[in-house]
Amino acid sequence: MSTETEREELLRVENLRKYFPIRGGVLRRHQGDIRAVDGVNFTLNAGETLSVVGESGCGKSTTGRMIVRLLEPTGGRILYRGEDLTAAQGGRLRALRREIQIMFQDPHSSLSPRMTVHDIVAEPLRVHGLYRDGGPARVRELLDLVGLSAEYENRYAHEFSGGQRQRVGLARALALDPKLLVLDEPVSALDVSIRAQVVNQMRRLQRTLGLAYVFISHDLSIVRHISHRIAVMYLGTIVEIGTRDQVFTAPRHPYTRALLSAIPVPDPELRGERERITLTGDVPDPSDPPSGCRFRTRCWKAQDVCATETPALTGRTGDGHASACHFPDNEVAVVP
Amino acid sequence: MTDAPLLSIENLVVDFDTDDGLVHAVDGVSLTVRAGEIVAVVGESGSGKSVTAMSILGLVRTPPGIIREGRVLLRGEDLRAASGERLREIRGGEVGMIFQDPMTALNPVMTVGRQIAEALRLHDHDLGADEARARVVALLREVGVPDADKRYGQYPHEFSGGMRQRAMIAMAIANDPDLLIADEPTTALDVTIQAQVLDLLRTAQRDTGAATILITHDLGVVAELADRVIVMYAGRIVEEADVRALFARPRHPYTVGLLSSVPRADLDGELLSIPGSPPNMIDPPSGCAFHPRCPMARERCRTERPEPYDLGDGRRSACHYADELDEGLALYAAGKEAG
Repeated sequence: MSTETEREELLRVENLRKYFPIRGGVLRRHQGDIRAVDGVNFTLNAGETLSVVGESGCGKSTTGRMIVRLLEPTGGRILYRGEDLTAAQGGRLRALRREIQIMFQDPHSSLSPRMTVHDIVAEPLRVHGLYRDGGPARVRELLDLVGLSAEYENRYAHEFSGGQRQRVGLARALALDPKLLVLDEPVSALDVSIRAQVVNQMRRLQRTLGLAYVFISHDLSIVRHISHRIAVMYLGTIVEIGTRDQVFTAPRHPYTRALLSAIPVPDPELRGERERITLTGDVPDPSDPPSGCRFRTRCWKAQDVCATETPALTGRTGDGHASACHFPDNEVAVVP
Repeated sequence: MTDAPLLSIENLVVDFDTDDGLVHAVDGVSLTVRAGEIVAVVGESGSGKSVTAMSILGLVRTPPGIIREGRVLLRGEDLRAASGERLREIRGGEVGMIFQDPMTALNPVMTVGRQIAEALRLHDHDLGADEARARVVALLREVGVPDADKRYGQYPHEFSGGMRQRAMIAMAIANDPDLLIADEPTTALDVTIQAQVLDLLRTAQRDTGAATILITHDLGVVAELADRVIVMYAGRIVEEADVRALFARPRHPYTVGLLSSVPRADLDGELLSIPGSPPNMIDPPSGCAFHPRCPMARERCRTERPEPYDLGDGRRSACHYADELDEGLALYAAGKEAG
C-alpha cells in the first residue's frame, strides 16, 4: 500500500472560501453573505481517501464542487500536483478536468433518461475527442471495471436499479482515467444491501487504479469503511482532521465526539451502554455565525475564550491529527 | 385487556395499479402489536413496510391502490369496515401518526399552535380556547420546542426540520393515543438532530405508554428503540423476533445479509453484501422471493413459497431452511470477495 506514488501529494486546498451573497429589497442590494465555506485547508495524497463529513449546510458539498470547478471559490487556492486550479484557463483547465471527476448522490437525476448506458459512459470520451479511437471497446472495459455486464450497454438508465445506476455513473466518471474522484454522497440514496456492494466496488477500484477519493458524506458509519483520513466540518470550517482511527477512536473536538455518539449503532446489546452526547439546539445561521468558535453555542465545554478567539486547526502531537478547539480531548494519550 | 393484541393485521394483500403493470406491494402480511410495545417493521425500499402501515388507518390511496384482502383490528374493531368519520376520529385520537416529512402532516397556512389546538378540540369538544392554548404550549414544551409561547403563533416554514418533527410528535401525542405509527420518523434529519428526536420518541412512548409501530430502513434506529422486529422483503414478512434475538442470531438468510451489510461506526472491516438487487414487484420471483439472491437457495426455494412459521419464543421465519442458517452465514462470508 505504501509505494512512492501513493505518498505523492495530489491535492492541496489552502484557505478555501465560498461566500454566497444574500440580496434583498427592490434593488437586490447585497445585504450580507452566507459563508458556506470559510477557510478550509487540507491535503490529499495519491491513492488515498479523505472523507469530508458533517451535517447539512456544513459546506462539504460546496467544497467538493469547488475542487472540480463547478463553483468558483471566493478565495483561497486549490493546488493539484502543485498547479493552482483556480488560475487554470482554457486548454490547461480542460486537461486538468480530465484528471479530476465528480460523481453525485442521486442516481435518478444525474443520468439522462434519453441516453443509453453506452452513450452515457461514452459522453466524456466524445467531449474530449477520445471516442473515435477505440471508444466502444473502452466503454465495455469501463462497464466491466464497475461490475456491469457489457450486455447492458444498449439499455436505458431508467431500466436499472439505484445500485446499477450508481455503477453507470462511476463508469462515466472513470472514462477519462482520472486520478482524483470527488464522490458527493455517492451511496446515500441506496438501500443498505446495495450500498455495501457499491462501497466494496469503490474500494477495489481504488486499489487497482490507484485513485484518490474525496468522499463527501453525512454518514459516519459508511465513512469508517472507506476512509484513510477524515475531515469533520461544521458551519463552513474543518473542526477536526486525522486518520480514520484517530478520529474514530480518539476524537478531540467536542463536535466530533457528539457526532460519533449520536450515530445509532445496530446492536441492541449496547443500548444505553454507550456515551451519548445529545446536542441541544440547531446549527446557527451561516450568514451570521457565532464569534470565535462557531460550535460554542452548542458546546458543553465552552468558556469565555471560545467567544473571543477563533481556535486554529492545530495538532500538538505531530501525527497529523488536528482539531480546532481551545479545550481538545485525547491530546496527550495518542502516541503514533 | 389480558393478552388480546391492541392491533392485529390479518392477511393483508395490497396491489398498486401502475402504467407498467400491477405491483404486488403487500402480499399476505399478518402481525400483531400488544399494548405498550415498540414494534419495528424493517425493510428496504419496496419491501411493503410503509404500505402496510398506511393500510392500518385507510391511508392507502385507492386508486391506484387496491386492497385485495385482509382485516385490520384495533381493539377488536374492524377498521376496514369503519366509516370515514370514524377513521378521522381515530386518526390523531386513539392513533397518532408521525411521518418522515412533517410537511405532509402540518398545514402550511395555519400556525403550528392552532393546528395542535384544533387536533385537541376535535377530540374534546368541551375544551375552551384558552385551555387548549395552554395545553398546546405545555405540549410544545414537553417535546422540547424552545420559546413554546412564541412558537405557538408561528407557521411550519418558520420551524427548522428538527423543530417541525417535534411539532408533529406533539400533535401525534396530543390526545394520549394508544398507538403511534411512526413512518421513517428520523430519516430526513441530520444525525445530531436524529439523536434528539429518538430521545424524544423514547420519552413520548414511555410517558404515554402508547404502543408504537416504527417503520424504518435503519437497523441502528431499530437496535436503539424497538422491543420486537418484523423484517419484510418483497411484500412479505420474512422474519419476526425479539430485538436482541434477531441481532444475535437471525433466522432468515435475508436478515443475515442485511445485518452484515450494515456499516458500523463502532467497528472496522470489510462489509459483506447481498448479491443482486431487490425484485421487480410486478413480476416477483417464483417460490421464495429471496431465492435469486440467497446463497443457500435450493430447488424447493424456486418452486414452493415458504410461509412464516413459528420457531418458538415468539419467533417466526419464512425460510424453508431456517434451521441450517449457521451454514448460510458461512456462505455469505465465502462470497465476500466475489461481492
